[in-house]
Amino acid sequence: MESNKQEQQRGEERFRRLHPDWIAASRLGSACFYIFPLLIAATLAVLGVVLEWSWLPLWIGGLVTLVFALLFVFATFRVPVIRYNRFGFAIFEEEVEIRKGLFFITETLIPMTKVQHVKLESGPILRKYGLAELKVVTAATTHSIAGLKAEEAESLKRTIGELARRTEE
Amino acid sequence: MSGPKRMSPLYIAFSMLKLIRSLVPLLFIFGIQFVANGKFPPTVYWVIGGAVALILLTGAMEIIGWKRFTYEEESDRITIRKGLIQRSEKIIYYSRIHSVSQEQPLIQRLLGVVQLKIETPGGSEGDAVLPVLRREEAERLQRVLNERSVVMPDQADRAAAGIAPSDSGLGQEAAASELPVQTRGPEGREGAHGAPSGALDREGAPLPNRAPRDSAVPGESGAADGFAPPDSRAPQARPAEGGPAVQMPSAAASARPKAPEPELLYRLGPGRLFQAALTEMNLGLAAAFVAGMISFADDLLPDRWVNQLVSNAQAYLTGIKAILIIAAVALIAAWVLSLILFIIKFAGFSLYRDGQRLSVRYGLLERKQFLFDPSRVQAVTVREGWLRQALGYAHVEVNVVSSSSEKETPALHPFIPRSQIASLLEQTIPQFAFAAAELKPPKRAILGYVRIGLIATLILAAVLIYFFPHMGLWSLLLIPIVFGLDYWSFRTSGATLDGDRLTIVNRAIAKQTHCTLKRHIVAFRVGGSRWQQKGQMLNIKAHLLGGSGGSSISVSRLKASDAQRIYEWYRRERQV
Repeated sequence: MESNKQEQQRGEERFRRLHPDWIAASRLGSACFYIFPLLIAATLAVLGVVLEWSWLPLWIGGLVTLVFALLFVFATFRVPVIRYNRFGFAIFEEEVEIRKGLFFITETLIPMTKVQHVKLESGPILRKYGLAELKVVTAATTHSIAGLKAEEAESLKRTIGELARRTEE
Repeated sequence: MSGPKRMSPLYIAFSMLKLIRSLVPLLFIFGIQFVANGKFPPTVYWVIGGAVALILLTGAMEIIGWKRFTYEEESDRITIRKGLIQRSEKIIYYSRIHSVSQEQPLIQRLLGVVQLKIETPGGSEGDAVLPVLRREEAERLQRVLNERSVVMPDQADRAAAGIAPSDSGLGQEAAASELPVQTRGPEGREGAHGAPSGALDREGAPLPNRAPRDSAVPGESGAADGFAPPDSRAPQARPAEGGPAVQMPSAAASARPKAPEPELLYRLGPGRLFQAALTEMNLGLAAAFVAGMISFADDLLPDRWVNQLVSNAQAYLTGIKAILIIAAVALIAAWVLSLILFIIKFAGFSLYRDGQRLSVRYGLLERKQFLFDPSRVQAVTVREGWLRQALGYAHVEVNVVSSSSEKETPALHPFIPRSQIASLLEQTIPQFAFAAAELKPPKRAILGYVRIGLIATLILAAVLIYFFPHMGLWSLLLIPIVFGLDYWSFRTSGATLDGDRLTIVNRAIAKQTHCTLKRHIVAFRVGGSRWQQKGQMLNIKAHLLGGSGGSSISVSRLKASDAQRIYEWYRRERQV
């Protein structure tokens, strides 16, 4: 098939990337989240030593703290970069395509005819970087494109809304 | 049209019975205490007195409640008003009605009345229920609502488009099959769409018969005529393949009057029902039931009895024999239980064609009726439990978009020989087919299929052996069992592409063959871990509507090329 060949040529280029600021935003988000278990584990480990709790010997406390510390480092420094590199989205006249993944890399196709509505969200962290999250909602699923500059997300929202409306008529 | 109407006065009795039903557990507790102690505890009179007073009070209140619960058919909508203290009014436009179904839960069955449920596409929030109607009134109302909901073409069309953009593919499809839409000529198509090729792709392919027929039928309410193709095809199919239909006047099929009586396509006789029940083994349900019984016994039965039971059991049952006996008893109990539950659920199963809709009715204690439009069927699942598969029988269910909160998919046929599935589908929902898997996972996928099960059972066995050195050895038996199941799942899985149809076959314990159409897939996903991608394998997953939160069908580790092919098949032509 000819389109297939074209396909391979275009391959990666068909995907658009997120805004690089998303890495920083995502780092901040993960850090805020993963710091809690780390702090709790560390506190317990220290308390265990100081108060000589019999059920929490140092090695267990230390091990758990270490695991959470590794998790924290991985989630904060590595994961956002991997995610960013893997993430791609493409908006065509008749469909939206999203590629993403951390361990599992998936590609998803959502036809415009099935798009129910489009949603913009931005939490405090995303807002700090002037980013927004675009959610494409179908009757059965929700697909998110997190980390676009607010204006870009806004215009994408309009584009998708427009396309979804047009294809439906 | 004729002012507000009330339901049957039995509504009052219904409310009281409903209250009594919620008091049944209380009765049960007292009953057990009576049996155990030989006398009632003194509080019983207070409780019974209170309950009776409550019931009478409810009865008195509900007289007003009944008076206030009215429904009114107007020219374009039905208005339902109800409420004793907090009044509510619900207006449903006929054009927005999705389906109207009669139900008969237990209490209604006792009273000999019918509950009518009017479903709208807005989720269960938007549904209206008229709980106590006389049968004739329910029949009449159902017919009237069904007729009106298809009578006004442009309104229905607008409604279909207005429901939700995502639904539009369906909605238009449904509208097209229900009414003769003249506006949908070829020029309408090209004018409306920026991308004509995509439009053709979506609308042109699936049902070649439909579009020309629609424009040919003139403006009368085409409820009966619109669905002619399967009817006229069925008579040839049946004698040749010995399909399950019993009585269907073949000549009259296409020349039927406007609002025909529902015609019977199939009824499951008692003999068949029993056969079907025998081959049913619903372990999950049985396990839940047994667990419920145990906790119930623990809570309610007097301690003395439980202790006696346990100590008896301990005295007689020791060692491995005990485990085997318990396992055997549990299995048999589970089997008998699922047999009974199956009979209660599917007794009197019958399939009707009602106008152009299909109607399925079943249930012993609670009559259920599912009324659906064949064009709204999202997917068909053929389920073959291992016992049934060995005997060559299967259970066919359809996935219909429904707003009801329960996630039940109506059965199209609970027990059908595999050879007849094709003709059943042909007669009822001809857009689907029953096919075998062609694109199979490659040999190298075996490891991926069995890996997780093996690791999990190994860990489990290790733990059990560590804690119970002798008895734990028996858990080693689990390993070949789990391995066998996983391997079997690998052998069964696969997918098939056939025009617009996608068939996905997978297996938990029962083999499931799902068939859906391109236009019903809401989103499609391929992907895999890095290991899988290195091995040139990909998982595929198709999201569908139906159920309450949507459903999905998936199969793991197809060849990457096959998965990509299906992905490209789903892709629309694009020009950006």
